[in-house]
Amino acid sequence: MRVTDDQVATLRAQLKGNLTEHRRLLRELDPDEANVGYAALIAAAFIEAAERRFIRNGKTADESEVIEFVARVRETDDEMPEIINPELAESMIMHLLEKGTTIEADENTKLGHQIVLLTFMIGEEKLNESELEEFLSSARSLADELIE
Amino acid sequence: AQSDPEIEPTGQEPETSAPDSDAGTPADEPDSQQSTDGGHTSPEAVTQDGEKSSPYGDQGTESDKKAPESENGETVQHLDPSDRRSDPTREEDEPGKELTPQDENTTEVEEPSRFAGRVTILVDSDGKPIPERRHTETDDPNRGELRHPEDDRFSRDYQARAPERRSRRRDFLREFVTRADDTRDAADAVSKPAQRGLERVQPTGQSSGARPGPDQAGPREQPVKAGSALIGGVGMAIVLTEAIRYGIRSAKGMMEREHAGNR
Amino acid sequence: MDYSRVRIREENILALRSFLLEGPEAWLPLQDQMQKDDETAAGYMSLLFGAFNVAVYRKFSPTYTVGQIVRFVADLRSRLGKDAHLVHPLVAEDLIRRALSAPPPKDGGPDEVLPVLQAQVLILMHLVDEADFDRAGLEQFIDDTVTFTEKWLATRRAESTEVTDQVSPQPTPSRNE
Repeated sequence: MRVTDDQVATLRAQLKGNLTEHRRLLRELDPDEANVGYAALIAAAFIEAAERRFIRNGKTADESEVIEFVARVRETDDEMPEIINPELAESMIMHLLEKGTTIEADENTKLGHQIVLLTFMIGEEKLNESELEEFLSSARSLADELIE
Repeated sequence: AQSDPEIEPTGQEPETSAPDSDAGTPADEPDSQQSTDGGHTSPEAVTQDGEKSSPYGDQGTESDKKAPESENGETVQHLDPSDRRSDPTREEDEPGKELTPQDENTTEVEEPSRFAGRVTILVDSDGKPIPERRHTETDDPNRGELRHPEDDRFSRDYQARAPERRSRRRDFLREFVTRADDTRDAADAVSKPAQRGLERVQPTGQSSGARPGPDQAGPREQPVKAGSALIGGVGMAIVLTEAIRYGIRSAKGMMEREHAGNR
Repeated sequence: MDYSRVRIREENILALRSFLLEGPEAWLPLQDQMQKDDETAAGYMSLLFGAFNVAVYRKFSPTYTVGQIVRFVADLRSRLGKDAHLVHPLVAEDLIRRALSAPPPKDGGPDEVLPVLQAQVLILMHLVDEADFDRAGLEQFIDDTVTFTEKWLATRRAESTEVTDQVSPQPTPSRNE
């Protein structure tokens, strides 16, 4: 199995801010394939985005920067503090920076955190079209390594 | 009473949502052909039998080419997605898909794991993976073909990525990939809030009034977090223990140093 | 806890003043007399609790948003550097929201004395430091704290007339002022 074009298109729509299109594509994904391919794509995109955001020129961000980023996400509106658990969010990023371990959470919650956090990270990067495509390609490649 | 509001009152700010449009600026390249993957993520596996595979192939838009078929000769295991339910515990030792044939640590998984598989990549004499269609004579970005990594803003990081890091990414992926019962539903639930990450507006939120001053009304009836133990002997003991003392002393020291600098 | 036996006395107020000026180290020489029993300890600890409530109220008056609470806790934890782990973010946000009559968050973190006290004390000390009281300001703050705490204890006494030694949690009326 590999990540499908539809799955990439679904994530692309999310990251381009096309919410209606994204939700339509999401509904149309094959559920069993999505459980494998889309989950892998999201995780890969999260890893990719976190590396680009928090590891620059070989230098790893410190905990304060991670705390600051998660706070920016959670202060966005009144709902976000309920959606994003700061301990979980910070631990996920710190895990990727090899400075900690992800805390326990259920699968839905982890997926939700990956999606929200990666969208915020990409949003801050302000990618143009081709940069977004490179990002998606990179995430797709990484995901394929796992699921093929 | 001396009250000393240290924040300005914030009224409710109107929430302006971003138009439903591209997150980025118009593409730099007028001919905007999608570039193929620039080899940022290259597994270092060596092909086992000289056959080419194409993890880097055909990754344009959905209207473009589709992913190559596995009949190209990849030695892959095809998974039946429904098998994942027969594997309630995630197997951490999967087939060594990213390992060279000489690697002794390759293990075979007993039950089908959701993400078991194997990738074979053709590499050149420098050990760098060769994507499927690479035209080395021209590396013109406008052609949408593979660029030099150094020219690519995000590929610069690739140069800094040691092989250990690339292998580590695959480990991370294995650890991070989720196994929701319905990934689509879980993704849909956050799709709207996630959009806030693409908007360029100030934080919004409803203003609430702080509770009446302590001299005006009685304390609230909300239960004390952690209950009466907080203010009893247990709480006292904790305040006096090393754990807090150390933490607060160092924190207070830090604050005092900050403070001294402000005087 | 027998709230009818908890009193705020002069020595409690003196101890509060020392705590605010010097931190918990100031209490170490006094620990034997402070820890005699729950009710004696409560004379001191309830004032700490009161001080926390007063300081938070002043900080987030007259109006606040949940986002500002998030930001405050994150900034405090960033400032603590390697000690950031001493402030559990959900516990801290929960404590602040309770102090402001805000609806508590769905997930307020662990309901245990240690993380609650760590967050409470660190937030209190940070706010006191930030306020940079002069002598009159400190006395006013202490007065407000004593007033608050007396009222708080009176409520606890009234609640616990029929209860042995634990406060029975009251349902939270939703009050948005």
